Amino acid sequence: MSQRRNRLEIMRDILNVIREKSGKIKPTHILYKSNLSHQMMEEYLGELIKKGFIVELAMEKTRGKTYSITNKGITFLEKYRMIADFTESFGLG
Amino acid sequence: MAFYLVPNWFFGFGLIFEIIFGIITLAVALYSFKVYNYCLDRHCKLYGLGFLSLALSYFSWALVSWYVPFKFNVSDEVVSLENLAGIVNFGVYAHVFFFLAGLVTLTYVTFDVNGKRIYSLLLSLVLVALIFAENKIVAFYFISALLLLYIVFYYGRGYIDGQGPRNKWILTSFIFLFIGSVDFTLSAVNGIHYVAGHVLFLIGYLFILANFILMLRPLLRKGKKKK
Repeated sequence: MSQRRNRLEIMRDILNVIREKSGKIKPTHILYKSNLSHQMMEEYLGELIKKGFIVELAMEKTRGKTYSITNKGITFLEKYRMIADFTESFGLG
Repeated sequence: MAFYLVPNWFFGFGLIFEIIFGIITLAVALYSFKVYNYCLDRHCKLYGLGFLSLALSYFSWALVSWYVPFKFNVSDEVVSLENLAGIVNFGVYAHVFFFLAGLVTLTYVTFDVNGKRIYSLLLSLVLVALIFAENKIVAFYFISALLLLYIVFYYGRGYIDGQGPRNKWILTSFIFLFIGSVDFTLSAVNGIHYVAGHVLFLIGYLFILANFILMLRPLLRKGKKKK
């Protein structure tokens, strides 16, 4: 049985999706890849922007937006195992 | 009324116990802050603040345990810690304040709510209850036991349901801290409860330490391989 993902796992999945796309991705693509509702995705993207893990970039031609991962976001992915071990061990997941 | 009744042979041991508690809680706090630096998750920050507050409370208590035999005559079989001097009062009250602030913070983390007003209300209620209590030490340990019980419920429910945290080490540690707190309630009545409370707390903190080391083991192995 698959377990529900916690907040940190969802953040990791979104950041991985953005990183896989060479650091620039449209919101529709994130929605498709991250398996979240639109509202949830907006919430998580807002949180990731607030934390400085991603930045929102405006596209001039289509008036749409894309997201790009920052160094902070990459550090989060690199340290994810350490973060997950701690939150699981101390019941913060 | 005494703050505590302490068997005189226990002063040196008490000091060592309190320093051990302080170091373990400080290690958890520092690691929480390190993790927070990478993930910016508020739970990690609050957990770190909670444990930092507990560490400060133990160092204040250690100050009392160090100061009393050094400055006062402890030739009596049982020493009554009460209004001996300014530093004893300061140490005991600092211990009480930081310990309750730490436990309130940890309990607040387990509620999984985001609201500064809820946190400040919790802390205010706890402190007001303590200020107006006739026997402050009994009230302090009773409130501590109550807060620890909520934390035990949180970890216990997660363990039984398999929905939340399932770590039996951390659950066991908080069970011992809860029992220790209940035992400390009687430390103003009989000195042996002061000793038993310390031993129960030591077992609790050793479980936290074991959990901490188990968590670090894969990281340490990885570090060794890299070298």
